[in-house]
Amino acid sequence: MELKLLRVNLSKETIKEEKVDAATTKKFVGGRGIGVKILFDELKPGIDPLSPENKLIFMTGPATGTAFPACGRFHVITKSPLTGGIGDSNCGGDWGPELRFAGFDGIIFEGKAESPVYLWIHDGEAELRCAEKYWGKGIWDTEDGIREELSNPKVKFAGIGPAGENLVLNAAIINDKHRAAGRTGVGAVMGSKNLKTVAVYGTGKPQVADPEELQAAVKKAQEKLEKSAITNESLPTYGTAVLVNIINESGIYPTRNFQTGVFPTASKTSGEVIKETVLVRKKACWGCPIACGRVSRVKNPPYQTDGEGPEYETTWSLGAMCGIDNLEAITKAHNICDELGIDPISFGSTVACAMELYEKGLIPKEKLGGLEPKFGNPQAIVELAWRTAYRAGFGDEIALGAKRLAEKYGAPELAMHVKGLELPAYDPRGVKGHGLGYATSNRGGCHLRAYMIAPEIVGVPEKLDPLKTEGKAQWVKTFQDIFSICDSLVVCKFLTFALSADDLKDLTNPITGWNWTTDDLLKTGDRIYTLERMFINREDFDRKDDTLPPRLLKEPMPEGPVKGHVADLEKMLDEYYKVRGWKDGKPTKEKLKELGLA
Amino acid sequence: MPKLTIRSFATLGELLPSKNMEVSTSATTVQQLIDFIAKEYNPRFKEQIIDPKTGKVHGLYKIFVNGRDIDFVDRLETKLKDGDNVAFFPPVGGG
Repeated sequence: MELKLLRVNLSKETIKEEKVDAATTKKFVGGRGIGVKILFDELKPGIDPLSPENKLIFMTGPATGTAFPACGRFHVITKSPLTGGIGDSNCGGDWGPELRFAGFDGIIFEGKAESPVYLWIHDGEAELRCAEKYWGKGIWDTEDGIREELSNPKVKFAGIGPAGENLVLNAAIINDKHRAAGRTGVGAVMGSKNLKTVAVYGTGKPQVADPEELQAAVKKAQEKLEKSAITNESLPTYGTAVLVNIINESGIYPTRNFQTGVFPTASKTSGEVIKETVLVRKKACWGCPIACGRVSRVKNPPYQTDGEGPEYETTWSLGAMCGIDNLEAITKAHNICDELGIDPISFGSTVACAMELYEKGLIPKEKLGGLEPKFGNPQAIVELAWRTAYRAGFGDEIALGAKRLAEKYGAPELAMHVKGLELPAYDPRGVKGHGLGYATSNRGGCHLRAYMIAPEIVGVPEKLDPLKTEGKAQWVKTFQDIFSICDSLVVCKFLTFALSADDLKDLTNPITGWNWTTDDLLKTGDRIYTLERMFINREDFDRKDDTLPPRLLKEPMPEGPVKGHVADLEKMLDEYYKVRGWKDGKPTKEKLKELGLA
Repeated sequence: MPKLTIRSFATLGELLPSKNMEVSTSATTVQQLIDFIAKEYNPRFKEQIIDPKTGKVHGLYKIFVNGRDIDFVDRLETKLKDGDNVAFFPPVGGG
């Protein structure tokens, strides 16, 4: 299997087709794997992520747009302006499959356009077009405007809003109006290239090696997805925010900038309450039988909005993290982030950091333009979303992300981040393995490199005591390797609530014709994860960066069921490096040789 | 009699008169509490949570006593005392 890519040089206004050969595809699969391979080979270490030297890669994978369940996704890979390390984000919706229907598996953008442009791809053709009249507009108006310009209502878009244009370091790329490749500031890289959006339309169909065998594997997978109460009941009924209550009950729901893990009014923002209040209907990404998405509406002032969400992460980042339990304000802020192109996790965490800085008297009032960023103030989160996208007033400082903001005001310990990326919605003081996942994540504070919440809280694939550290290193590595494969195929990680690595292998082989064993799949995941590590090692990340914020390592949880616990990292980290074949956060020569990376 | 707070979430919450109840009961273990709820309120609640073949909690259903998963205490024999907070969850996942 080969992959067909477009290489678009925005400085020279050239577009070329090129292939990823079969051997490289088998070694790195597609999506995140091929993306990091291209970035590692082509990017010089130390470049400014917002300079024309950076590359912005959109990748689908062998599974995208096929019968593989939940394959309506794509991956964006670049050097992150927020962290200086690997920048990447995975996203659902319809855009990924549409790119393959249009005849391409991925796009590499390089250079910088002289003035704003968009790329229009349609059934094997690609052209750069002027986007000046859309520059400054929100995501939704841009999509509607270009659809009208192209006289094609079926075009799909992945692009930026004002946040990306204004180089907000937590800017997202938004596709299909409401799906966000949110993390690591990929939207700012797109903005730095004067690239507004990528419009795609296609009528083709991705080829698979053995359609009959694929059909049999899909049937088996669908039966498992239907039998799982998670994928067939709780996620479609309540959305991802069904997690709010159980995470809060476990005492690990980060509240007021991780000052505690218990938010007494968390249930007011839960999936159950969303279903009873703002939910209009559920929504699925392309080819997904789960349908965890939420179409929502707030009818009454002051937070009227029509849109989607909130998801578990945004319910938290715009909610408990800022001490806010007003679901209507959270839904409004979520939609502003979608419309203007902001990562709500990093944004909410940065606002929470600002709130703590303000309450501790470290941010002078005159900086705030009349805002009162106190924990629990819903107006602050809604107002700051606008101001951040346009870098207006204090929004210009939220645009820096939590690490830079806290450093600026002399309290770096108040930024809840790993490697510069703000942490998501689980406090690792009460889920020890998940903490190791955060610390060792190549892209920084992230729950989607290793989702140890599955075994430590949900009980999938088996239940592990969240307060124990023994054996967690191997679990974290296995999750990281399997999720590297999910991001490279490219398919939704929620499948793993019902499907095993064996099942993923059975679905992959008929598409690719590779005859993988499960060990092959895991080794390929290991290779991708290790290559990412090589990329960040080259940017000076190593053991010193595989850590957690001091609050989580040193301040015992003040209340709730995990009262007194801190994140126990060092012992697990030693064990983790051993199972990875790394030393001090760097792969050994022997390991590189074993993985074919030497 | 000891008083317990019982909270039930997602689909389980729809099986009881209230998702958040305070009950007076002589139950001193989680198993006895489930039997009490089944008798007093709705037998389906127990049928959902307990596998009749094994007598154990169905896979992925979760019971917390004061925030601790009973699987890591004494499972259905986990002791209860006055003022305890018991939470019941059906299989949930997300991220």
